[in-house]
Amino acid sequence: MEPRYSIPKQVIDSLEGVEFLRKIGASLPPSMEDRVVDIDLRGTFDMKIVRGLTSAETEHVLCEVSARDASGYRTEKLGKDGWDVSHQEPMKNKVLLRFIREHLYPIPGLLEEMGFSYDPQVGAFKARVTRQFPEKFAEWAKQLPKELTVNMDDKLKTLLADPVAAAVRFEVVNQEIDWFDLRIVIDVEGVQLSKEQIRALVAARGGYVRMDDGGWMRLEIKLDNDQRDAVTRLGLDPFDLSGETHRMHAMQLADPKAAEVFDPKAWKRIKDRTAEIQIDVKPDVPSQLQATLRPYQVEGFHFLAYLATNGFGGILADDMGLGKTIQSITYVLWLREEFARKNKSKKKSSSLRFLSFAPNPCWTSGREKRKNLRQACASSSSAARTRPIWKTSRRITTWSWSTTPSSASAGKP
Amino acid sequence: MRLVSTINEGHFEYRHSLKQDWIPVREKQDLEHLENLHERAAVRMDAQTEILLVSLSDYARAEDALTLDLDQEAACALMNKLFHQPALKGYLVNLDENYFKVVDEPLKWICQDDPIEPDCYALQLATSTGINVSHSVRQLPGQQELYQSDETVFPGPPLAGKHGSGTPLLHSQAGHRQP
Repeated sequence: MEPRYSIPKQVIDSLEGVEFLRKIGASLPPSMEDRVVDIDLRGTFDMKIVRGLTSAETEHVLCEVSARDASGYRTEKLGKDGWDVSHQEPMKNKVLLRFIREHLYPIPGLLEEMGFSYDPQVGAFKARVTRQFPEKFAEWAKQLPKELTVNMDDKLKTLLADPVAAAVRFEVVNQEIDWFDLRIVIDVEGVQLSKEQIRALVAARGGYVRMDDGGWMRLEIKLDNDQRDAVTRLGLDPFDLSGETHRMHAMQLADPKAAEVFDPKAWKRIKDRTAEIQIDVKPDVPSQLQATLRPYQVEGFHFLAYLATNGFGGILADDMGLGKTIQSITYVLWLREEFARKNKSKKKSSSLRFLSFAPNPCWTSGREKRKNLRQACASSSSAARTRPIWKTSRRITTWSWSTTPSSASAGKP
Repeated sequence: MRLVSTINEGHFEYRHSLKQDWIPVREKQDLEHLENLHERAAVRMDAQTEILLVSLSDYARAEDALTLDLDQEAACALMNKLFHQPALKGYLVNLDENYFKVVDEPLKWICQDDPIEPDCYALQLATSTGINVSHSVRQLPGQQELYQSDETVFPGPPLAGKHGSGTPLLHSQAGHRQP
């Protein structure tokens, strides 16, 4: 390519010539500068929602697309077959117009992206308002190039508004020993909304909800990542406004990151109770037991002792024949020892009730290993089940499974 | 490996060690020999050399030529691609074995009244500081046009009609029309 070309003046002094110079980024000859006007056309979307365009209930977004320059020399309107000039200021003295259209080229693609199609009857592009429309429109509108002027009616503007902020907290409505009944409470900030509206917004889980005035609104629950993680770990759903309570144990709730979503008083109760709970409860197997426990049976015994120490209820469950009974007997012996240790002046309690609707050799063998415990067996007949056949009473009961009722506590066998 | 180029032609050269002379890749068997070594992992080369070798292989396969005839668009496009890789600085040299300098300041066209021919306008290529370019340059097409001189490579003005919008439209006061 040569660094210099001579071009006949009549070639340059034309619409094509000046446009060519613009395309290659060349400056104008000084003698032509006054006769060439650059018109930088920018697009404008004028959008509004209309009802009843195709049927009484359907809604459409109408979008009129125009292009104009800042000086108002020219206005064009986009139709089915392209841009049509709708206004052009008359020019004098052989003025050559150069139209800078680069900003208009993406517009057809943008309209297609949103599903707009041209309707000659209304002279505008239209797109139907469907269930997916709010999210799609909001995302589309936010990505429109900044060179484009976008005008919307008040209803459409609500789709670009920030979500309404709401704080979520967990209210403790009831407490039983270590169990807390929680209810989720949503506090909406800065907007007056009815309970039904809040319920609808929460149910939408951050999605758009059509309001009575025709606009849209969405709710954003204010939880930072740590709080959200903590709530997720608890298995709670901040969007659950069913009104149902969620029963949670103190140990589950004792997540420091969850503190901010609780009432301060409730959080103190949870923390206080958590501090009382003993984790490491591993007493020795009572010496009175005339048997050697297998390791997993020792673990089961420790589990029962842990529950009793902390006042928890629980179930010891396992496959048949693996030693639930011997673990329970061990546990009862330990309870007796604990009781005796704490109440040295009192007599040993001897109240115990064993019940088996399906006695088996293992059970019998197990109970025989404890010489001081009175025992009884019953058949599985209905008659036997209805009769009070036990000589003594105790709060531990074993069938084919063993349970420690929640009211049981250490030192109170 | 390296690429030696003028504004009319380019060719690749290689050498087996720093102490040896450069050998131009002129014949097909030269390239096949290098490709064979590379295929068998029988040669150690730096990443830049590998880029050059792969580029040459692709070009030779597509154009059935080992030298870059810069009158051909494919050769110019390859030059543009290579000049756009900063890592290849030092591997693209001119006949004086000087590295090509790739600058950021673009060239531009200036249209002015032609003092020599009064009935014409002069379209003059100039540097960003307004100094007229006095020598021929080779236009290298690509995403960004490059202009190669004997020693320097400039980004430059776009090709006429290249604006990425399909058919260009020309306008009058009456509206628009196809050229």
